[in-house]
Amino acid sequence: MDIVFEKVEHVYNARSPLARRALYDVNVAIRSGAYVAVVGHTGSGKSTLLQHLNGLLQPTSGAVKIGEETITSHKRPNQLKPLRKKVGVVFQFPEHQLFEETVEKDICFGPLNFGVPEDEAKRKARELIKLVGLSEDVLVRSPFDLSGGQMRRVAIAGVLALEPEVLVLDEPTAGLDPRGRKEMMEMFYRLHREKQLTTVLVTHSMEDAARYADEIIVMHEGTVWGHGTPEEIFRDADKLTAIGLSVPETVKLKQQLEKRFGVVIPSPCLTLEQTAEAIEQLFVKGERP
Amino acid sequence: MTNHLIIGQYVPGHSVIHRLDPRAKLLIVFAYVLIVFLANNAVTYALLSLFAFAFAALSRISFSFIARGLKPILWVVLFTLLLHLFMTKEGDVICQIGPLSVYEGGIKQGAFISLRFLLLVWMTTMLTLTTTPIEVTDGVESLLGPLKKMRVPVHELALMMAISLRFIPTLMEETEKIMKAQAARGVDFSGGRFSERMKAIVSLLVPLFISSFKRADELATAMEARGYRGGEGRTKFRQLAWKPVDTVFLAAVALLFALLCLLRS
Amino acid sequence: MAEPILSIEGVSFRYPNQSDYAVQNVSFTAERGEWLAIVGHNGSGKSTIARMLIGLLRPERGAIRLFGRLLNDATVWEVRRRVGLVFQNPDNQFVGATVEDDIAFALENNGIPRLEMVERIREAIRQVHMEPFLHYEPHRLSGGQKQRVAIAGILALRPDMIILDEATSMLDPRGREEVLETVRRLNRQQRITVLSITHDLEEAAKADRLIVMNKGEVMAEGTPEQIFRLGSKLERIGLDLPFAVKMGSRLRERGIPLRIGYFTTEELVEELWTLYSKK
Repeated sequence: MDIVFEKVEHVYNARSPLARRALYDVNVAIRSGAYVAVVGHTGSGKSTLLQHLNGLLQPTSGAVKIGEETITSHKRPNQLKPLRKKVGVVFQFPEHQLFEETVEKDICFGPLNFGVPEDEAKRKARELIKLVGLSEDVLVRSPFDLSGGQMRRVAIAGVLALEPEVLVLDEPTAGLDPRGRKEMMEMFYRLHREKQLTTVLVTHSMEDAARYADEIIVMHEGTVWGHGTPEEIFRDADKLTAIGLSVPETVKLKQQLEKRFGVVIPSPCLTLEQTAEAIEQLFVKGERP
Repeated sequence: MTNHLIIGQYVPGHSVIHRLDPRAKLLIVFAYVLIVFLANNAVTYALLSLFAFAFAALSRISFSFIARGLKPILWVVLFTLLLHLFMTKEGDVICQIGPLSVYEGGIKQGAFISLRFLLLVWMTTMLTLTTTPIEVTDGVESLLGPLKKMRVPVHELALMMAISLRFIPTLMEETEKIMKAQAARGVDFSGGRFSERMKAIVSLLVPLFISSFKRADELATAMEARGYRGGEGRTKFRQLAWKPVDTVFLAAVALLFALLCLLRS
Repeated sequence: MAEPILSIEGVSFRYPNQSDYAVQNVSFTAERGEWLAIVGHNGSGKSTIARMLIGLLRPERGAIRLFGRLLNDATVWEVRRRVGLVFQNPDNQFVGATVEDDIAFALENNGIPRLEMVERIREAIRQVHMEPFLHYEPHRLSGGQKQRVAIAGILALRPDMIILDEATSMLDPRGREEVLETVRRLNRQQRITVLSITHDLEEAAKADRLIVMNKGEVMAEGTPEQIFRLGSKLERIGLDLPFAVKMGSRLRERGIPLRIGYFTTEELVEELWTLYSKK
């Protein structure tokens, strides 16, 4: 499903003394099947943007087109439900949304709300629990007896059970340790490819953005500051640093090497391997500048 | 919804009312609430209204803001007014609407009772508009101080109140987050059949309770880590200072009381 | 060598109704003014240690000594005055209605006279660079700011040691940097001993010494240099090596003869430059 933002503005508490403009003049297109990372500071408008993707928020002006649907300020909120099945959102600390007595019931909760028959929902729960890396006997347990990491996986399965075409992830690895973080990011990447999802990842990690995303949207002070491939975005590392955002460690290294060696490294240096290769090249070419 | 309800909201300021000792404000409002019931004629109600208006004027909070805050209770006032208008059968009949007749006494009674109700809400709203919740807590703790001798855990109660107030915004945020997460899973909080509504509420309340218990547990641990072990041997950072102006305002209420006693019929 | 400010001897701990030990036979010491990092994956027992250090949990076996005295019921309140603990969740340790009330909380608990309190609050807020926020309510602060208030609350007690229990793990990069910068400054300028409990090896790399925990036991102990030589052993227990270390080993695999050890990115660039110019 293609997603297009046209001149989107969002003002919280509009027409009141507390009005605060969180988004303005947002024009951006996300093509179907893309993996897009949204980066920016806390308060840059990332999370407001994200909530427009499934109609949790409606633009105060402009339009958001998601597949066939168009969301404007006029749309009645109860018309948005079908959209929520197509766009699944994994919020930050999703384990906080668990509430059922068993893991199975919690995973089935979303599908049942959308009118999926019960045995169908249960079948899905069995399939998904394995997909998120847990064993089937977890299904009968209370979600609150699980470890934090396991609870998060259950909550994610609950979102995947909607079989969304677009998966929106808001800092899905917050609070996990390095291994947990890596496993989770790899799991989402696998899902992205296997299920041909459109994935929107909101993250603070430039490493993850560089590693997984086809495109990066940089949000700054309520609007889109930059949009392009990781290569394009990190090419102007200095500009990113100027608005207080960092670049991946590999890009930092590349920058410092270029300065110290007085050379231009053609590789974008987005992963460790790429960077190691670029440095090897530098040594093989060999001549001193 | 919360945008329209100003009862319980604090409006920062430096007016003489803002700067009154919270104990004085609590006593003034408490006394006012009691003596409102003394009024029974036009003069006494006029006096009470005058006092309430003067109090608001001194607070420098705009009347329109306060009036807007009173809107939600307007229906209750209107209902009381109508009830008295048609139910009280005293004095001369003023007019006849269908089978209902309006008596002179009904108009008087209805107006007085509605005004009384308005004044009560007006003054208590003034208290919260000009006093931070934590000041109210300090005031209550101090005023209840003598009860400590009767083994009433005043310090603990005040701390409980202070912490609850501190966590209200946090809980509101949490509520909104959970509602959004469940809405994303297809929950409709605005409508649906009764059973669906119940399910929606359960899907909000269970996570809210669980996270609150977790918060409470962590907070208790943090308090212990920071050396909290009950009220014994504890000093207080917030101190209340009774100023001459506080005495003056209390005296004004006493005067009001005296006048009401004299002028009531 | 001076007597250590903290020493833990053969400490074990089990949570009620659990058969496995959360912490098993752990011993280590910390010197005054040192920055000691305890690293390990989630559930490796590192937070349990933090809680035992200020008497929130009691070890089943072993002894904890702080400032040369055994930690027990008689000394626990003094320990809580001299050792401050910053928890993971910025919201759930903020007790006061405003920043100043929160900083005052621990002072009130310790019966500090009001006039001195005002003085100490002013000093503490200045040390964490939060002066403009003195009258702010917690919901108007960012996570990083709340953690700095928590640190100010500890500083007001003039502590000897600060324990950071995953204190930066819920913060955004900016908040994390604010908090670490504040603690680093206090460690350097006031020689406050810092015990930082984290799973972020990048953060731990800046410590004087590291203790690696795995499944409740101490797996290794040493300077960052020594610890990062363990390489993939650390990755196997769920940790992530600092960037420059990973890069260094990738480059060695490709035949660039870097020396083995721990570098920052800057040092890595210098090492490469030296090799490059020698060719």
